[in-house]
Order: sequence, then C-alpha cells, then structure tokens
Amino acid sequence: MMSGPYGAADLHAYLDGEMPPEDHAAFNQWLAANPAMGRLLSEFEADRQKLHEALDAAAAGPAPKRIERALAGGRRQHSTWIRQVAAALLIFAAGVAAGWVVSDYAGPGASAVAGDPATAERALTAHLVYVSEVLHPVEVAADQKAHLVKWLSKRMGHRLTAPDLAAAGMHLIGGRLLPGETAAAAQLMYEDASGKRVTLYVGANPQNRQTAFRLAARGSVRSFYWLDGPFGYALAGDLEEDRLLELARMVYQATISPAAQ
Amino acid sequence: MDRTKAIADEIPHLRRYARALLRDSEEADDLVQDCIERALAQIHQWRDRTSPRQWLFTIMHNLYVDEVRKHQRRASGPALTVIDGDDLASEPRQLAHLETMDVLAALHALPDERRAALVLVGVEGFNYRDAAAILGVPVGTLMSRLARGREQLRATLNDDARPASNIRSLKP
Repeated sequence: MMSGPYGAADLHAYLDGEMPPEDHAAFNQWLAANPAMGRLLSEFEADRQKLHEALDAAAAGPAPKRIERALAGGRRQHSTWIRQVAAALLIFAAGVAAGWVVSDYAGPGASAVAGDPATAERALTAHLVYVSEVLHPVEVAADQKAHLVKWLSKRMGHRLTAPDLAAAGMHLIGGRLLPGETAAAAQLMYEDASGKRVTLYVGANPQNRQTAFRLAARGSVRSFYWLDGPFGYALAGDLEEDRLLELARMVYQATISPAAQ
Repeated sequence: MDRTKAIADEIPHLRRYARALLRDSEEADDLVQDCIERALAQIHQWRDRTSPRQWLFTIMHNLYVDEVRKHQRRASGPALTVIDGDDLASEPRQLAHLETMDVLAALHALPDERRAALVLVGVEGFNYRDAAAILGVPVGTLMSRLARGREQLRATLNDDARPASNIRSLKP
C-alpha cells in the first residue's frame, strides 16, 4: 500500500495544518496502512515539541531593560549614553596615563585660529565607542550611501559630503547620527582591507570659521581636526601620524567649502 | 489598537525567534532591540492587513540577513553555556537543561534557511504563505526547506534515525 495517493511530503502539510480537512480521512487511512510513515510523523511531532520547549526555555525570563527602552522610543540613546560615559571614563584614565597631546599642523587655510578641541574630544570618544563595534558599527550602511548622506545632511542643516578615500585604501562602511555640543553631529566610518577603521566626525561650525589642522591624541588614537565652512571636522584613527594626515588632507580636499576655494 | 502595545505583545515571540537565529543570547536580544527600533522608525509603513507579528518578524529577519551578509557571522562552534548553581541544584532540572542544550545545538547545526523555516512554521505557528512572505521566498521553497530541516533535525536528535528517503523505499 506504499504507492497510495500520499507521500512523505504530505506528513509536513498534515503536521503544519496545511492539509485541507476534507483530505484528513483518506490521509489517516493511508497512514494506518503505512506504519513506517506513522512512526516518522510521530518523530516529527516529538521533535517539534522538543524544539518548542527548548526555545521557550532559551528565551525565558523578562526581556532586558534595553529592549523596554527601545520600545519606549529610546533610539539607543540610553545605552549609547551609558557606553559613552563608560568609554569617556576609560579614555580619561588612559589619557592621564598616556598624556594628552595637542599640536599645531600646517593646515588647509592660512588662518592660525585654533580649531575646536571639544570637537576633537567628542570625535575621539565617538571613535573609541564605535570603532570596536562588530554588530552595529554604523546606523546606516554604505550600501545606502545616497540615503545616508541625505539623512545626515538634513539633520545637520547643511549639505554633507562623504569623502571618497578609496585611493588611500579606505572604504566607507556607513555612518551614524550623534549628539554634538548643541546640535546633531555625524560620524562616518571607513575601513581598510585589514579591518583598520578611521572615523570622520562632523560637527557644526556656526561661526563658519576656518582653521588649520590640529592634532589631538589619546594613547595611540590620534585625531586631526579643523573647521571649514559650516562644519567642524575631526578624523580619528589608531594610525601613524603621517598616514592619518594624508587621509585628513584627502578629506579636506573632498569637503572643501566653496568659500575657501 | 495601540501599535506600541501591539509591538510589546510580540516581544516574547521575537526573543524566541532571535534565539533560534543566534546562539548567543546577548546577540539575540540585540537583534530584538534593533528590530523594535527599526519597527518604530518605520511604523507608518505598517499596513493594517499585515499582522503585527508577521510585520515584526519580517523586519527582524531582514535585519538578521543584512547582518549575516555584512559580517558572515554564522553559528559555528559550540555556544558557551553557563550552568549556575541553581541549575546544578537538582538532577532533573539539570537533565532538562542538558536536553535543551542538545536540541538548541541540533537546531543551530542546521543551515540558516532551514532553521528559519522550521522555527517560523513549527514553533511560531505561521502558515506556509506567511512564513514564505517573511523569508521572501516562494511557498514551494519554504516547504522544501522545512522538510529538509525537519529531516535533518530528526537525524541529529535520534542517532538511530534513518533518513525518510530510505523509509519511503521500504516495502511493507
């Protein structure tokens, strides 16, 4: 009676409630005549039950607080905030240990006005917080570059450029919105073939000032920062100074404001 | 119906499915958190004809697939299991715990696609049409992944189990 109207595939449809009720009687007859199929069905059913229980046990317990916060519309602000505080404390300790270096560099413009060290501070903190992220290094990935740039530009109130650093082996992997001093700031993240990451922090420059490149460092992480047009920039990375400067120059060339040309 | 409440009601289901997709419970909850954030950001795209569960599972599945593509993070190697004092307190509880671990290990040994199909239908109770829609595949594809997943899980959980293809060829 093996060659009935049914086959092993129908066991699944039956088990999953996808078999029309009017077929059940005939199916059960076929099953009765094919004990091997009946045993298989029982095993599938038992496995399904085990799987259900195992996953219930694995996901038992109350949802973590961060999930509740996300539901309350937290947009990760709390967890980011907590992590930033934690990172800042860590960085502070590292800074005390390693010494905090600020030095002048022959910059893009003729002006010798100092850049915004607070921007560099925030850039370094943001860099250290997000550069080691595996799961969520960026909020919007580079495959949606047009959307990313449009979104960040809109939130910052000026047209932002995501510089192309491919010539230096760095590829954009995405970006995120961050809190700046008084308004939104953006972070763009780049990665080279070895997985080394640099971040470009872009904050507001309400006075439209232009400055030289300056270098800030905490431990082995350095940041070149400058003001130009509507934005203040800080490029941060755990790279040799020369290499970071080369990238900073590329960023400057790509983002140069019309007023400075 | 209040949409935030509707999302809240689905959290236990989302966490359970996330645990099927990811071995690590922290990563699984990260995925749920991302899913909720994405859902709230896209709440205007939710059509009333789609059940909240199907909508949220679709979002979560897409997030998972993006993540896997980006990092090629795959379930590989045994998960770290912390057995705390409470679990060691009584033998039956410990045995139940070990059985859970065995089943989860067998589940995570399945290819992603089969695992997703098996859990969406077998545990979360989606019908074939909705499960196929969540995974973005034709119903026939879903059915074949489901059948293979179920067969593979059975072969792992029952050492002496013979594949169904052999059983089918047996003469009564």
